[in-house]
Amino acid sequence: MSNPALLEILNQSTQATAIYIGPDLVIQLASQDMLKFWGKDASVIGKKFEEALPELKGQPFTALLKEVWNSGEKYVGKDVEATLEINGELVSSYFDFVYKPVFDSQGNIFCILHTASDVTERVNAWKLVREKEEREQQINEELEAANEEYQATNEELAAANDQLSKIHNQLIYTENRMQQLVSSSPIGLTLLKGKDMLIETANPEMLKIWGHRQEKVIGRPMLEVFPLLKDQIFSTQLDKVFSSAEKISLQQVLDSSRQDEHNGAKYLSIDFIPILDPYGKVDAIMATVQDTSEQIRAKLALRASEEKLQEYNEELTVLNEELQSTNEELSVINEEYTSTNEQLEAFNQTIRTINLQLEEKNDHLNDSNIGYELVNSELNQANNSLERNNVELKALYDSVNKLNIKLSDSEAGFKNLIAQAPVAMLLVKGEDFIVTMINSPMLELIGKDESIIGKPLFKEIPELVGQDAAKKLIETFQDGHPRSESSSTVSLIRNGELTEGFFNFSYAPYIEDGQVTGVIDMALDVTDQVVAIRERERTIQEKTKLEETLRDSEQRLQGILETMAEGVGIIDITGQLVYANPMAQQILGLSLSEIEDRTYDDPRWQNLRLDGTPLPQEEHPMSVMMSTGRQVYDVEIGVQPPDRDRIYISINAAPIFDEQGNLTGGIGTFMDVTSRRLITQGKDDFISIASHELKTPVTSLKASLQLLERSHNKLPEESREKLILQSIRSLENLSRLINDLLDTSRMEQGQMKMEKTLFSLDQLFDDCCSHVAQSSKQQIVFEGEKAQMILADNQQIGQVLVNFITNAIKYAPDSGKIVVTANKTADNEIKIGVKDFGPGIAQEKLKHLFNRYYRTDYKGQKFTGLGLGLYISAEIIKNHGGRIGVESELGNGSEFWFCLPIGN
Amino acid sequence: MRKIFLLEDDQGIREVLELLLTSEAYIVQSFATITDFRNRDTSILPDLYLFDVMLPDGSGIDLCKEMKQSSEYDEVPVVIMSAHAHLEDLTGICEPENFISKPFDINVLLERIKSAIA
Repeated sequence: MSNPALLEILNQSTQATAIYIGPDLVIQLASQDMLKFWGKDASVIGKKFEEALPELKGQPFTALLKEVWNSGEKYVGKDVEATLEINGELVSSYFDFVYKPVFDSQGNIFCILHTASDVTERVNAWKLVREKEEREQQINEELEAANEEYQATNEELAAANDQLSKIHNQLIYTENRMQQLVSSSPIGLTLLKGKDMLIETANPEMLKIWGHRQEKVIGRPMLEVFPLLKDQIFSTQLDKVFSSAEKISLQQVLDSSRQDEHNGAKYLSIDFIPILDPYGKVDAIMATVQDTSEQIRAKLALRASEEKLQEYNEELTVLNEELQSTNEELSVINEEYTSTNEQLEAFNQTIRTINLQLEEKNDHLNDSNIGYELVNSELNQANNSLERNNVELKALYDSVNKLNIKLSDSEAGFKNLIAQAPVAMLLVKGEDFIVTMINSPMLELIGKDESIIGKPLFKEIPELVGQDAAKKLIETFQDGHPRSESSSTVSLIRNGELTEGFFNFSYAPYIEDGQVTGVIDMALDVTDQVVAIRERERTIQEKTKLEETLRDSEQRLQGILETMAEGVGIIDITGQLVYANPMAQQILGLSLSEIEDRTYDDPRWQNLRLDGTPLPQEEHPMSVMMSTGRQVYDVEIGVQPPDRDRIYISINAAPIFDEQGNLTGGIGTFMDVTSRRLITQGKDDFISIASHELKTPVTSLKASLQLLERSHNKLPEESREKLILQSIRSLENLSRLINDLLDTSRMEQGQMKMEKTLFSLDQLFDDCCSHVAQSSKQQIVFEGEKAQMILADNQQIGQVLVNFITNAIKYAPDSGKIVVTANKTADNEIKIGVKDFGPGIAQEKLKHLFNRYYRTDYKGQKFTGLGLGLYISAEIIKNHGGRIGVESELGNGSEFWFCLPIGN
Repeated sequence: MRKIFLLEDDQGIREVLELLLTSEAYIVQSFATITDFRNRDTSILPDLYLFDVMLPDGSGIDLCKEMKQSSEYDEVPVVIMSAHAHLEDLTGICEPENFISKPFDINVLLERIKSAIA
């Protein structure tokens, strides 16, 4: 090992490094940092560890190194304290160090690499931290202790607070009570502070007495506010209050500022009461002011009466003295009387003597008296019985008196009752029905005055006689049964006229001592009510009648609307349909609700002009009517319902006005004129066709003749013949057409005359149809009872036959054969038929064939002719009393037939 | 020689017209129905069409319109004959060169045919 270089390397290391060799731990190398650590210099190199650092004795390092050397195991130390001598001082530092054994290639340890770093600072820092932590811990523990104390204190405080609260509440409560007491006290209270008696508080009563408002008085001296006291109070007295806490009372202070309404002056009693502070000093004065007016007044009154009493007493004394004097006079008179009495005594003596004499006489008399006594005792008995009778009589007399009193009481009561009753009342008594009692309502009712009392009722009111009310009254009197009537008719003379009124009356028998002595009549004039009721009934009847009439009219109207043959529709001002009668519904094929859903020009109607073009809204007769306000008559329009054939209606429209003449709607009546129209159209069509048909033969006729006229020389013979023939044919056609028309018109007017002749069918066929048969391509055969004779119009029947045959030729051109048959169907009837084997006719057309204007289409082709042939044929056969008909099957040809009565 | 195609269903009128026109040195081909007309030899173009209106299987006016609208035949003049209608009624539907109402005067007819062909 190159030690200097190695050393240099070690010195560069960040860690202090040292190398020890051998079990003695000789320091081979030590870096500068390590030397610094040790506080030694390079001289230690080569020394033993223990020798180099003797101060490490007792410290574990040497042992550790030796252990490392011996065990070959690395030792890592952390935060190990080492005390080293540095610059002569022992310094303790902390180190992280590693003792690493280094092995040679044989695996034997040959040195120990010691690396160390001074971690003193770190350790110190950690120490600090730890100390801080410990301190914190301590503080925390102290805090906890403090908290617990604090908690306890809080609880105590809370408890104290509760108490305080309670006390506070109580205080408040007490204060409130105090306040209430003070403010509601009937005694004026005020609290005064200081010698100047500044008003601290005053209760409402006090303020009233002073006549001031609270704001005005607070803080002011009381004497200023309450000047009354100025004259009453003496400062010395006040001083006394203040100094010696004595109470002053002022009684009977006249309050000149206030006066009672009734009794005059007001008096007050004022007390000044010192209020002491806790130290016994006068803190404030409470002044109480009491209205003692009443007491004072009472006192004064008492005094006044006392004085009066005194006066009376003095008067009495005077009188007593008078009495005294009178007494003395009386005693004088008494003395006089005494003397008189003595005189009388003397006289009495005289009388006594006389009496004695009399006694003697009496004795005599006594004897005779005994005789009389007997008589007397009898008389006494008689007297006794008389007395008893008297007593009974007296008793009777008393009871009678009592009854009389009761009677007069009850009569009086009764009279009172009657007089005061609001109902008309009357009492009649006796057979003559004397008016005994009558009250003013009744007087008013019968139109009499009080003079009627005591007079017979029926004499005073003669008009009552015979009336039901009177009869009932009499009956009640007679049988004693009460009666009553309501709304009874009674006629009374009022103002000189007999007027009828309605009354509720009731009669009650008047009973005295069990006998009916009269009748009590109570009546109520219900004339007005009855009249009113009758009036009302009459009105109701009238109304009912009117209603019935109205209902009848309505029903009639409804009936008319429902049964009339015209449709009626009513529209409102907006054109909305509001009513459609049943016929309208029928004609239009809609229900009422469907109709009322629309206006008259609703597109759903598909209103059309007569020519089939859509009808503009303004041309609709209802529009015309609504806009002009005038009626329109018989205007025809078409209506195309979506699911039915077109119909034509003729509308009359009239406007509806209200009372002010404003248009409020319209009413339209319409009829279904479809058939009329169709007939007209049919006629128009017919005429159009007829004119066309007529023009056709005329055209060829005219052209032929014109051509002949123009160039008969130039034309070849053949052509000329052709033209002439054509002309004749055309003329014949024309002639036939005209005849058909004439026939038809004649038939219409019933002018078809028949000339019946007897002829055979053969003859008929020859006459009418031979040349037709000749000129046709088809074969025409006649089969059957050709020889049959019939009685008929030859020409007409021939016409029918010709018609059938020409039709067959025309409509079945491909039918090779046309067969005419004649067969008897009955004794009296012959059937003639014309059969073709053409295309046949559809079933639905068969029923129309004999109609007047029907011209059948043959595969959509139109044929010449007016289509009258079959109609005319049918009429002819009908006129003959026969039948006509057709049988046909598509694809199988047709048979036209007619049946005729043979005739004769 | 001028050629005229005649369409008329009435036999009488047809025959007279054939004679008339032939005598006036026209070649006439006549048809009784539209169907017959359609079945004609269309390679031959006439100098004039003379159509009746009321034909069993259609209207001469419609046929006129058809003719006028097709490019092949619109050059050929058309004269319409009818017992109904007037020339004014046809405007807008078809515009024939001329129109003649039935019954006609043959001089007038010949006149109109001549001017139409010209």
